[in-house]
Amino acid sequence: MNKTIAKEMLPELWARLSSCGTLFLPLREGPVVLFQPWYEEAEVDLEAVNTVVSPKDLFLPRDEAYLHYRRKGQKLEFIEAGDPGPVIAFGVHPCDLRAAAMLDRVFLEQDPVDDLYQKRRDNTTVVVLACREPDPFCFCRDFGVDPADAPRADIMAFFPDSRSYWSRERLRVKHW
Amino acid sequence: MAQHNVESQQKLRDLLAQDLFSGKINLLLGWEKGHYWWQSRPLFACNETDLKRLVWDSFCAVNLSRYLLDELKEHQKIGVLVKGCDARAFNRLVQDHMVERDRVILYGIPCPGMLDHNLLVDAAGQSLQGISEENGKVTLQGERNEIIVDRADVLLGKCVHCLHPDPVIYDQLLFALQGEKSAPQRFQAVEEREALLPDERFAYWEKELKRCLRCYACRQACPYCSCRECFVEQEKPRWLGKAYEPGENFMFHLMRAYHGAGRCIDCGECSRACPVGIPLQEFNRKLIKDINELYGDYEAGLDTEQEPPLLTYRPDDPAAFSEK
Repeated sequence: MNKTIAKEMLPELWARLSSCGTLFLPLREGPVVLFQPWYEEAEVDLEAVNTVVSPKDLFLPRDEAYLHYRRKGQKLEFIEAGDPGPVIAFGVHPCDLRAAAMLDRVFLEQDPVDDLYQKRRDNTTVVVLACREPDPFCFCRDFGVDPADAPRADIMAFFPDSRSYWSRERLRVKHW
Repeated sequence: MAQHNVESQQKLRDLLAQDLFSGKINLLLGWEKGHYWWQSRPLFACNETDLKRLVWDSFCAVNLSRYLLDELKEHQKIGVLVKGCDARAFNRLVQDHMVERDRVILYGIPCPGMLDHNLLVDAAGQSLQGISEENGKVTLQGERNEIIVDRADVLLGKCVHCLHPDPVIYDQLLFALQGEKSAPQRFQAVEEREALLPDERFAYWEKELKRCLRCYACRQACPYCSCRECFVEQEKPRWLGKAYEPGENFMFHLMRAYHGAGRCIDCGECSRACPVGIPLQEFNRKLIKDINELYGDYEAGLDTEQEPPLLTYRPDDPAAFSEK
């Protein structure tokens, strides 16, 4: 099912999405673009090819509480870390999501599964934005990543304009 | 002018080859082209094949003196190409007793200031293919068109307010000196921060430092950060946690800056190396400015004999903190 949204309406969409959970977007912070929780005055940059730091942190934060403990007399009481809550990641690129698949191999496709990681994966709705232009550092095609498609995305979004370098036709002819 | 022609690049190589092959030096630290045309990375040349890769162009921003700390463990005598900031960094390391002066030969190169690839792309767009330079102008070659900009407008941040583009110390000078520069706007950013209310200033730095990844690239690039064991890695006592915490990011940068008070040569390598663009040089410049105001003008790295103001005591030193 295809839906189209006008670019001007995106802030309204983001405002609504942010009431459903923590909304992460590529935000311009100083001279760089990073995935950060959205706020109303934030400068969203959907044109940036890649964020300086990958959105891997969404699934595997640099630090997180696994377990809380409390001492009761001679005994220790353990409390498991709570549910991380729903997250919406908007504007992730196909290569970013492919990287998450690599993390899945370590944390999900093993026995035992990493519960907290799984919760974060399950709680995160990923809106992937197809790339329009490669930058000098891009190597997605060498790694078999389609810059205009991400099979594991919850929603696959495109800019429907002719500027796209990675048009379907061109991709088919050139590589796939 | 940095964009030296092929002939002078060859002259440079021939001259250095003589010293390398005669055994006068065992290693030469210079620059070579990186993966992209706008990157010049450190070159570690031990033989003729290595030396062929030597370049000197407008992207040789990396301060080479810092590499001496590691390389002197392996090599008895090292030759280093030094711009203004590399030379002052060398003095810093000598003054800190981290490098022995007589084990290093300095080849001085006056520096026209290095260029910032991001600014070049801002001016020409992503299709920028290369540049050429002449008389203070840079021609940006796009896919279809050419744009000419002033060199001064596309300088790397760390070079904009440089006072000493000429090497302040050298054994052999490779090109003609160009003279000192003035930088009246050097403390402008610091003054803007000073003009803020304390809460606003805190908010400014909180926002900037929140991005810090604690990758320590600033420390690794810095000529004053030469401690064999850095406080961030010390376990006993443990000064700083390992986890990413905004408050600890603050702590790290403030402690690092204070550690360099009066020792920072203002080369700006910290800001250049930072992957998330934190204006770290502002911290150091604030301390330089305060020291200048309290103890009189002082520039670190100019002279190894002059003691840094915070390492000396004079009875008439101002007691800035207790007087307030």
